[in-house]
Amino acid sequence: MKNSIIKIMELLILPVGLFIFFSLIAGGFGLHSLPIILSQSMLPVVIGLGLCVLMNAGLMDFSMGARSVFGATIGGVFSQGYGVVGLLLGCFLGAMFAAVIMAVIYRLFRIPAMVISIGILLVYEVLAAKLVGSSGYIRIDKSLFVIGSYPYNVIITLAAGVLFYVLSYRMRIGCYITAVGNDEKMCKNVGINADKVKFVAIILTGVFCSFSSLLMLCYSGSVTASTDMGTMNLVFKPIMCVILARHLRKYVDCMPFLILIGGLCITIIFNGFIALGFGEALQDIILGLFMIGVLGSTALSEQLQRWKRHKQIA
Amino acid sequence: MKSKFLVGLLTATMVIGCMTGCGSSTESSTAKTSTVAEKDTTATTAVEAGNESTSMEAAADATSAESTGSNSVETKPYKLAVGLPDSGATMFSLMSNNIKTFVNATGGEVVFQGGVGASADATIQFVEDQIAAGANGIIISPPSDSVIPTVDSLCSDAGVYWGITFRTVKDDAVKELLNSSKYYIGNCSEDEYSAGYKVMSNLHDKGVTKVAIISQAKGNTTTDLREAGANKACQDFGMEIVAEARSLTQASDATSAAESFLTAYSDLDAIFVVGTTGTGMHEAIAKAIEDAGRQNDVKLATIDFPDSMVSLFESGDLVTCAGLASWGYDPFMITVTLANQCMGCPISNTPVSYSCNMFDINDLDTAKAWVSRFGNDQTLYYDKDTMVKTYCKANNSGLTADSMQKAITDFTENSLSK
Repeated sequence: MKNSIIKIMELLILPVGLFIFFSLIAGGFGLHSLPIILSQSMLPVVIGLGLCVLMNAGLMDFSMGARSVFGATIGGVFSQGYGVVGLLLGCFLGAMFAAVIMAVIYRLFRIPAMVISIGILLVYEVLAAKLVGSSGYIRIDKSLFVIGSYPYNVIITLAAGVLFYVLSYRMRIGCYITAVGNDEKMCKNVGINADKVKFVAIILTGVFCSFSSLLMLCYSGSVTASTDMGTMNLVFKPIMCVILARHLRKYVDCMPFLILIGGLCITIIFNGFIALGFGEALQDIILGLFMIGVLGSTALSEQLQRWKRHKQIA
Repeated sequence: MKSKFLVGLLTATMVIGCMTGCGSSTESSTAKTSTVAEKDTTATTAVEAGNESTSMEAAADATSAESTGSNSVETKPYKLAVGLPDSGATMFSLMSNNIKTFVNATGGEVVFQGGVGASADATIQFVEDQIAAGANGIIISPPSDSVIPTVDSLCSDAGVYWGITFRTVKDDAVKELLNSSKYYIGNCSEDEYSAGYKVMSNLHDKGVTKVAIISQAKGNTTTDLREAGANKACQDFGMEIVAEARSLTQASDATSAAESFLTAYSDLDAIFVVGTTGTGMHEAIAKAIEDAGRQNDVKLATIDFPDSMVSLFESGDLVTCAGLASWGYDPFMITVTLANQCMGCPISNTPVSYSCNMFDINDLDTAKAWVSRFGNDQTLYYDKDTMVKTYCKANNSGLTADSMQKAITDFTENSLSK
């Protein structure tokens, strides 16, 4: 227990260190930025939780953004007739419907998940665009904005994190998903139906998509039904969060917390650069270097230790 | 035995598929060749000088020879492809409805496709696909000058006319290429530089000094020119662009960007939406400003008129915007020029270059007047009869590049009085 707390504190050094660094060098960055950083981290974290379920099962998915937009569109449509109940129901039904269709296609046709996800992305983008009509976006009533605002979006994300933790660490299906992702052949040999486990994993992403649909819609008050793979942009930040989280897993095995760490780091970097007045191109370069630096740090430290040992022996 | 049979069957299917595929490409290349041959034949028989090459000039001569003393000439059916979306925002639907009305009334058909200007690959893919689909004319809005030589080469090889909307060509070598191209019919563009300058100037008049911008990726000709105009205004008026966000596609991205701007710059005066492909962005930004409690301090400005312009002016969030009288008018006029070319009645023997002047809206009344005129996607720029009689060269021999330019100027200046 004591070790875990120490590890958690060590991990927190990353976002805290970044925050202090930007506070010192950027005039407009400081404690007043905290609510915005927390708020902006929530959507990529929730999408990241859903992505993590699939990545644990050894699958890759680019359609989480499109499915979230589709769920948000259904939620927006329902909210116009049924208020907050319609909003919640619409987001859930839309996201789950999209997930079930994707899971069924994967199970029936046995095509790689990445390929299906791109097909699903294209289809649901068009469906959402058709639903919203010529305006290209759908708005919700002002009274519903509060659901996606700080601190309620943090509470919703916390709930999603708890759900992920229970699913992954306290339920059998979570263990099966991880086992299938690690060694599918071995799982089949011990009697685990890997195809069924992956099917369930895809459906479970629908739950997290419904959270992200709700946050996306209420955060800005509207959702844009972009086409031509525009929704793919929505998954890149979450993918970075999950990759960072998986890399940091050797410190403490609690993916919701680690994905949050990743989300906070990336959001702090983006906001820090805006405060510094850096252009978008430079922001992307530095973010890429940060990712390489963090992910390469383990290999670098191992090499450093090997070199030290060599020197000692010599 | 069973597996051998299956292998044999699959192999046979593959071979038959290959043969069919080869057959169709041969047919399509034969079709392209015969299309070019048809154009060659038309030019040869029509021009007394015996010019065998297919050229805009030859087609023009042919048309003149045929149409002497006649107000109505039988025009060829044609197919156009426009690399712009026909839905997703009122301005897209308005543009496509007007183009469809003209093209259908003059015996043609038209298809639209969005996302073409997103990248050079997307543009080239679109051109190749439409050539293969039998288009006689293509309109694109290229993301940069670098893709233009390839497009011209593809179209010239296929004998397909093509034109540019919403863009000017900056590169001198590309300009030279286009001037000597036989299949390039011209371009229509706006004075994006002046639009960017004008919006910043209007903001300066309202006491704005620090501005954050939301724009497209660097290299996009339209937004690069608008930003250049904005930067010039900054130099002239002592203003400063303090932050930027680019290539936003979702409303939530716009809210995030605006929140970041507002948090980082307590003295920010305005957020200027220079250009965006996403819809609902302006309302998302206005929400961020309202959530931060800074409606009185931070204003919104934009180029192009959003669907929610009236409500944004009413709430006081939006203070100035500049744009075309109607966004779709630019592609409409260049498509009219292309259609005439494809019908065999070209408006000009040399590539045209239309310039659309922008105007600005700075108050609610003007915004309401604009929306009442162009807020409905069923509005026609001209009634159908006028389109056919005035903008079809076969029916109006006086239609020239100059008269088209005059029409553009008149439309902009008088658009709200109609």
